[in-house]
Amino acid sequence: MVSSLCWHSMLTPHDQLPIHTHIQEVPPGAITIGRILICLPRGKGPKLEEDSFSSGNVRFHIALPAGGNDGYKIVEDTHKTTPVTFVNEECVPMVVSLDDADLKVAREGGVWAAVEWKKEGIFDFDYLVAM
Amino acid sequence: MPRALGLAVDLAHDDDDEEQHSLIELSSNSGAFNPEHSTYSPNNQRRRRSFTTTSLRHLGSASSTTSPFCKLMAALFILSIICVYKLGLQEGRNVAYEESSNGYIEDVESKNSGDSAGYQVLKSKGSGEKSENEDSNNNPWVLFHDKDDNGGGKVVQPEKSLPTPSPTKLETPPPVPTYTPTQQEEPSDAEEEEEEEEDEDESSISFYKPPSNPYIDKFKFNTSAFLTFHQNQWKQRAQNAIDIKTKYGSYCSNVDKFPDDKPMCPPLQVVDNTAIYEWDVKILNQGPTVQCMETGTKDIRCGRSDPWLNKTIWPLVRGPFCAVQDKQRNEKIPLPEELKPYYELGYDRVDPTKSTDGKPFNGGTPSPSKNKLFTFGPKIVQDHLLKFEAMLDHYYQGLSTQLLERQLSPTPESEYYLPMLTSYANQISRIILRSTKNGGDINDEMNKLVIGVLGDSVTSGTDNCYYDAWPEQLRRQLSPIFASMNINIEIRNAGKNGGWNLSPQMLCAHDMLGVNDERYIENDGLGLDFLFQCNNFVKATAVDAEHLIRRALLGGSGSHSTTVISMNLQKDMDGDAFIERYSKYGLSIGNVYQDALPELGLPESGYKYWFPANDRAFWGMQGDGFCHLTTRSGSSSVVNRNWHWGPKTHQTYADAYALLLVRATRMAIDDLVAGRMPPDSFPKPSDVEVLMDAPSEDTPPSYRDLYISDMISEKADNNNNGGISGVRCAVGAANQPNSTLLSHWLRPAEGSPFEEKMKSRNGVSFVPIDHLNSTGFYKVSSPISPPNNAVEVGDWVADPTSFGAEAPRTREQCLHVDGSTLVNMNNKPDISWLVWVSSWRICLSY
Repeated sequence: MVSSLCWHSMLTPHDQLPIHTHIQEVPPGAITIGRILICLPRGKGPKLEEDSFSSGNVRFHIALPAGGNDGYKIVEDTHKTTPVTFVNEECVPMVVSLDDADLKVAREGGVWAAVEWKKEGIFDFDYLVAM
Repeated sequence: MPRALGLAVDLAHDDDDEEQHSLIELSSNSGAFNPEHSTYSPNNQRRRRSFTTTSLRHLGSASSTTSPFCKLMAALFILSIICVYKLGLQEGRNVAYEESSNGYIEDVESKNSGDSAGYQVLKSKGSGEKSENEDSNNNPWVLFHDKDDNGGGKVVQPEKSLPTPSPTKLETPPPVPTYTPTQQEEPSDAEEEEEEEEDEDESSISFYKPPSNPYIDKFKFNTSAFLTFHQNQWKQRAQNAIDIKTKYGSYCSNVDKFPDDKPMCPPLQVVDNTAIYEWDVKILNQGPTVQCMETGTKDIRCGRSDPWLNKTIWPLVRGPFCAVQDKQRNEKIPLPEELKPYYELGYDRVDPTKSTDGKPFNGGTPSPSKNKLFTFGPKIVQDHLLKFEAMLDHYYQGLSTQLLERQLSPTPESEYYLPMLTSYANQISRIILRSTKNGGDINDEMNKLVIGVLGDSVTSGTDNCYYDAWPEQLRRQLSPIFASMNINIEIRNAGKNGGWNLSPQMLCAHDMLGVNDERYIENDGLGLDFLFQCNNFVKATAVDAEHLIRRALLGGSGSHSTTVISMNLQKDMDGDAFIERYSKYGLSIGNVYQDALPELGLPESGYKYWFPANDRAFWGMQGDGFCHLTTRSGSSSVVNRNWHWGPKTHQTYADAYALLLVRATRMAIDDLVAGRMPPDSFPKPSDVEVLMDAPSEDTPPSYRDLYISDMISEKADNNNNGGISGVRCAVGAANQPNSTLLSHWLRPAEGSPFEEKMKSRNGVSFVPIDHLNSTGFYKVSSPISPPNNAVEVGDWVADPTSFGAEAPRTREQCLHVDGSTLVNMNNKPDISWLVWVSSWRICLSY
């Protein structure tokens, strides 16, 4: 059984809100196309720099369910699979696409995504996007 | 009780100015008018009344038999009568609509004919032709007339093309404004040929003509007496504006741009803080009672440190004039008692803080023998809708349709209007049927019409009480009517201040607007019925727009899978092409009139001189072109506050959507009565060609290039089948009333599939194990906040947690939407792993 409490409990500060605190659960099928983005705010905080990837300050990885028993297939440096233009863009693809097999398991079992970054590579982010 | 003050409010973006606007600091006594010279203080409604009294007194003085002002006004009045006579105004409004009992006609081939239509403003509906009289430059109402023959469906961008005042040019009494936002160049021969071909095909095009409204006839809103009265008032207002300009110049004109301008107050010498220009103090003293030389500062041009202008021109010159017009209107053409319920809506005019939502109108009961599709009496509800429209027509002095239709494209002159309206009507039919299916119990959570709202600070209500923001005004206006159909109106506003990019918000519309609410998931997936996006300042791009539009309109299935969408133009967005491509599925485009509502007249034509110039943002531009002293809800009739809309502009924008939705509801009820059911299938993405060009393959794709590739992909039908839910989001700025707190998706790396690799590389988790319980990891700001949180307002507002004098509302009425759940980025370990998951399965582990 899927419980929405897991989301609710993570947002403890909002428990006290006087307005609706809508509880959500990310349903199966959240991954539709097989793409993951991380979006960047407008503020003056640290940005994803042009050399962030080439310097190794920032790396993107994903882990997909594989083999049952909580096994995972880790794919490192997904940003290298399909280079993208990201300087001065509001969002940056972490994963541009998945092949059909990976897409299927991602749709059914979700996907873990990771940013491995050095201190000098940390950038402000806001929306984490799955599509 | 909102916990806004108890939460750590994210001010990280407050440093960002919005579209490079500079904040203007005014003295702490701003918002209250000069007590030495006026008793007007908008602290409460009672004082507002005293304003009227005082204003009348002022005018009375000025209007004594020896007053030159009086003589001028008398002369102008006589002149206006002569002009009216010369113009040959005749009985009746130009027949804009062929009175048709059937309502939505199929063909309107040249029904207009300007024959004997003395009141020339209204453009004939459904005709590409224009009578000669419509080009008359002698009628102020032509202001609302789009002079472009084929421009009905054109998307206007007045915020970009607004003419700038030319204060040095002395005005003569009307010539009338000739605002032509869709003005086009002369067509080439080839274009003319093309137009001729189009004309030949026009007979096959269906245009919209609204059904007749018996209350317009009953209350004689279409008689020459009604229209001439208002027309004469308009001329008087125009003359008054010209007088203001002639006597006092133009407010804070920008001498850099317009060196010949005669500014109301001169810029000051840097050294000794004296005026650069010689200034005719005698003239200035005829009206304004504060000399800007005394109030300006050396490094800020006139008026920026002291809002002297509105303390003088408005309360002493324009305000009293408007008060007289308002009194005349109320005496000559009062709002009929029968229409008052649609105007009053629970407003307490003595103490606005006690205003409540309007009570539901009685919707009657359906006739069981006739139709089982309704839980209300369709004729009774239709009657409410007609009265509402009539109320608007009275309020806008006979110009409600022209004025409000301009706010949204396509307009009824366009062939695309009827299909767009039909999409709205179909959506409302679905909502009515959904309500009927649920038993028509208004207390049932499922019986609601849901409107999601995206936008920037204007839409969030910044610089206003949220009470006056257009989404809230729209909700308040429509709720009693829809309640008569046992349907609640729910508006979810996720408008954010200018510190946030719009593109990801459009991407994340589904989660930002709470469509994933589990109540709805369990109930046939009720989502957003409508999505209105209004972003005056913060723009996304045409690619973002098309991506969202296609997700909203295409590929749906079932009863709730599409969202009828309306938005402003985005960067590089060809509005006409979008209208042509998508309006048949429900797209409309909102036209933003920044500080120049259509009813104001435009600066170049001389009707705005008691306001600041376009480029001089100012706190509280008072008054509108109709001389409404307040909004219908009793808020100040302020057009702009700072660079944001004031209550009056919000009201106009809300009215535009209200009129559209009311029209659509009339059509929906007619359809259902006639047995016409809304379609339950929708076009697939592959059925509708993408407007955006395929991205170049020469450079690595940006995320927007990926959007385009997705849209034109053969897999688009599969990819888009989630509607706007095809994209899911976490974290970020959302958190609005009646919306959802975005989930965070973030996890400690420990326990994740990456734990081993992280440790092998001496990394640490960016997200602490106890991040849910620690108070520092997330920065959470309340979904609602004081009205002035989004931008710094200095001393303009004495109490930034409410609105005080200018808007007599309670703190709760003033709280506006602005919240977020963000990661505190101060935590920066040397090497760290940020891990997140988009899997529902993770929830199983708790």
